[in-house]
Amino acid sequence: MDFSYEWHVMTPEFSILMTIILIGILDVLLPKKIDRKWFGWLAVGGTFLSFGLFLTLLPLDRTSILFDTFIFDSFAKGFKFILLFGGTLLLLLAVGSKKEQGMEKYEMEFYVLLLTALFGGMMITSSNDLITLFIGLELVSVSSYVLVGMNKWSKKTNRAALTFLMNGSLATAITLFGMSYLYGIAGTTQLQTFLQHFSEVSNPATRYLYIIGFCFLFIGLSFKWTTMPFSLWAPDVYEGAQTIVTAFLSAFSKIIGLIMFFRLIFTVFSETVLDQHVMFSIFQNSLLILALLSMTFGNMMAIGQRNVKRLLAYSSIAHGGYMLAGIASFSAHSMEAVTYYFLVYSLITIGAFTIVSYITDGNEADEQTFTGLFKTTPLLAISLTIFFISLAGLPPTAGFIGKWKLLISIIDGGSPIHYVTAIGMIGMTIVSYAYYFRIMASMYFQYPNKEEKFSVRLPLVILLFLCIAVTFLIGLLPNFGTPTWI
Amino acid sequence: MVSIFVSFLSFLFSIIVFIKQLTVGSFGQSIPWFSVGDIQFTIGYEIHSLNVLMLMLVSFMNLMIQLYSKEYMKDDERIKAYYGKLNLFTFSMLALVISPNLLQIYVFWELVGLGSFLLIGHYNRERAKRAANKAFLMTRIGDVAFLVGLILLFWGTGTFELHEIFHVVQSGNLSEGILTTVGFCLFIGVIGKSAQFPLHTWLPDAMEGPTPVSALLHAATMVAAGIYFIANIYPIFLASSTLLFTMALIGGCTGFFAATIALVEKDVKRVLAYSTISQLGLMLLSLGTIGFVGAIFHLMTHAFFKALLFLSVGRLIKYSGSQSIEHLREIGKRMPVIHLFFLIGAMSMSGIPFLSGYFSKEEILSAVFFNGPPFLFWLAVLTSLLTAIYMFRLYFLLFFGGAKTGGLSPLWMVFPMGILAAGSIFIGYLNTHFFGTFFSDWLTKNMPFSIEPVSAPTSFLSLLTILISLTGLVISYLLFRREWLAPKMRSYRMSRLYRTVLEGYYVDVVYDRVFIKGTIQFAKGIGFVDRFVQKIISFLPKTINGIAKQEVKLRWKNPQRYGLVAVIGLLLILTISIWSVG
Repeated sequence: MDFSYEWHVMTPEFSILMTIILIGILDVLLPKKIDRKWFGWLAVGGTFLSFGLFLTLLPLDRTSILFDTFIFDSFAKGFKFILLFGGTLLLLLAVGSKKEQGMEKYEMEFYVLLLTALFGGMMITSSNDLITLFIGLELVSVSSYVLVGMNKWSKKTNRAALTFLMNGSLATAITLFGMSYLYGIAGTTQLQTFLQHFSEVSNPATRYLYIIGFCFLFIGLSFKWTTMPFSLWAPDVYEGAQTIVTAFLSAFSKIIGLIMFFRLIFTVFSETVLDQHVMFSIFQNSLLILALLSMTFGNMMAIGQRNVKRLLAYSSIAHGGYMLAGIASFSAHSMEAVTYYFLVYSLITIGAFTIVSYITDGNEADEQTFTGLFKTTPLLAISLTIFFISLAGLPPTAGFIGKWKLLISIIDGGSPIHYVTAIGMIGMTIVSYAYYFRIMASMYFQYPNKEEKFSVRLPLVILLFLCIAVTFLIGLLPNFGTPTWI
Repeated sequence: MVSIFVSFLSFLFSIIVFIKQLTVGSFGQSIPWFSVGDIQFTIGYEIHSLNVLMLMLVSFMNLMIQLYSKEYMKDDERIKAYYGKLNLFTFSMLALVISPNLLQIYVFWELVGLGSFLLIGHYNRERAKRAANKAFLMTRIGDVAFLVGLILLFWGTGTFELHEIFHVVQSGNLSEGILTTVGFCLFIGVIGKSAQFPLHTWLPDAMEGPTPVSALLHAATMVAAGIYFIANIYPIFLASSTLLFTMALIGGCTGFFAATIALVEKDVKRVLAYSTISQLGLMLLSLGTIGFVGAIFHLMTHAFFKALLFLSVGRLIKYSGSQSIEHLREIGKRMPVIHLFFLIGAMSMSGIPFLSGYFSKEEILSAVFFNGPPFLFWLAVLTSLLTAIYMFRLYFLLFFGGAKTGGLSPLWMVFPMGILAAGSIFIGYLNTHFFGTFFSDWLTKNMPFSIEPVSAPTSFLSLLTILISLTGLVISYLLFRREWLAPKMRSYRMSRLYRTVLEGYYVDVVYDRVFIKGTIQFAKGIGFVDRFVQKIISFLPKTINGIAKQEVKLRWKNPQRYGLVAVIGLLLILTISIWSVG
């Protein structure tokens, strides 16, 4: 057996792994009295290193190692970029957090778990095999279970963690069941060889197996990216978890689920002979309807919410719907459009949660907290406005271009259901203005309940600056946001 | 101060652009912005006569308003934010009028809406906030249709570039049906933006904003955007006679309808708001009867005298702190300068001969006379008559009588008003039928599409226009100064008709009832289909509330239910998929 692989394509992953181990060992070895605040910077350093290594790998063509289970193609390049960028932002958010946000006690755990999730996500983007895909997914899932339950003294958090764990394990079971069907049909776990096997399938009976496999897989994964029907857990968990963790769930965990699905349908379920394409179009209608349902449900429910975290949870369900519609429309542009939307969405949702976590203490995030924010801390109010405008999809932010691209790619699908989805998406966007503008209006037009200024720390400023700058940069020059290597 | 200086620069640059346009003709440039797949979207600018006219008008009005605001808003604690919003608003409008493609127009169209939302809600009052929200949501309804129209048009022509769209439209490759649908959708967007019936109710409420903002909003930016937009994509409307007729009809009816409300309205600024709606209706009527020049000409003159009226009324409001006619009554007596300015504005607006308003109104009337159906012409005549009556009603009520006190107006206020007053008198001479139609020649020469000139007004029309305004003046004098028919007026005030008009024909109330409360009662009388539709409408908010309540009850109770829902969903999608494969 030959072990002389081109290991260097995995160096970004390795550097993350090394950082995890380093932090773990240091935490055990160092005496208790030493402050562990700088672990955060260590973790940031680790991702920077990884990012740098990743940049050196960009010129490479499609490379695969480990018997074709780990590939480094344009898809992996695009999404690793988004993941590393998002991960760095999340780490910065944690580093810049205040005492009240409750990060003090869990320095080591938080960073290690977050990095593990990042590691898992990066593995997923490169996996070319069901087993590695699944392991990557579980790395993300298990770390997020622990992250949600981290604040073990809060009753709410414990409930949230339990809800999350119960539903999460159900989702994993369903996903795994679906995968086993795919394996049963193809007799292999390799995604590339799947194609050949599926195209050879002529026995009508196997079609049903194929459908069962797909449906199970889809529903199981939809847990991650919170679309209907597996989205009801999100509000409870988002509300119960610490806000930093909520940011992680909303931006990072969601996108990982979508990436996985994207990878699967673009390799397994689509690029096949005509028969299989017809197969996908069977699901297409169901998926578009589910996407529509998620948009409608998410936006409608968000209107009634007074807790901002719950509100954002429902809005996150709605955004899941938009992205799912983009994927399911499956037209010539959907890859590009959805990738762009991923990038934009992860940025602005991290930005929004940053501010929410910063001005609300601990877990509670009542809308009252935002009243008159413009009077006390204009910087935060203006930043939050930019994120909300972007989430609502208004120009000149990147959110608008993202929605626009999705819309174009959906309409490009060309069938009536596509048009219905597009119109539904426009309508639901309008509905979403109702709640974004409600919060914005109370920030600007009302007087604060208590005259309290929020001091703004440096990491927070860097983070906000990064988010806003990129939001505007790729909003005004969108070609910048769809790098040519994708 | 910086803001005013920048506004001045902006106006200066507009003039430079204008001079360049005069010497070299239209020019423009586009660069690629982004692409989705193989579809390219571009960004750029385009300068032709209409654009450069709007550019000058908007930057000029902005400069005047900013000068005036320096005094008017000086006690405001958020004056910095005020100037910031004002500049955002003007910027969006300026960018809108030089956009060469529809996508760019849409972007700035939205930004203009955002700017007005912020400005209307500037004062920290509950009503102002509600008005801001209303303005935003109302125009939003139009914008949905607008966006749908844009996308349809894109799918019909494959491009957003105005030049190419005109090319496709004129070559006749687009079916009449699509064109009409597109035009109709876009027109609904315009109805929202330019406050035409039935989406007009936000504009009177928007009077909660600071007065200079109202002046800007009415003169050059927000509501003018709709008229500008139609003029800018005129070939699309020209291609379908149904569209033109709809436009003329809605414009004419709104014009008349809003004028009647302005006649009885008790709030000074709301009178002016309804008068704007009415004048915009006339412009649309003109556009609908191929009176392109008339509409744009009137847009320009209207900008001058409407801004002037708002600013002079603003001085009174500033002085007394109230907007109601009752409180402001006779207060203008001791302010001779304001008196003069208001008189000029009112005369110009009523179409008293040889002021700006006269020439543009004549232009509109002749377009309707030659190309429109007779009943619309007489409706327009009636509207003009009403205009003269209500303008002078305001004048007689505000500026005559025995006010004891008065005050000098600060220079910062008088200066811009003086310029506007001069404009209200003289700007009309750009396009008259005895000195020459410079304006019309220049406007039609440099457009990307050709416009048929409207025949010159006959002496009958000129005479009629003069007659209308003078009759209006006289009627108004008799009714409101001499108080003829005073007892009748009092009993009339008791009448149901009066109240109906005063309440703006209950449009707002109907909206409230239809959309929120009385949907079910309303549906009872009508047939089954209607009842069904109404139920859905009233059902939606109820369901949302119901679900929200249920959600509050259920949250945190049974996490396993979430999983159950997922499993049911799974089974459903599985069944559907298998069933559809057969």
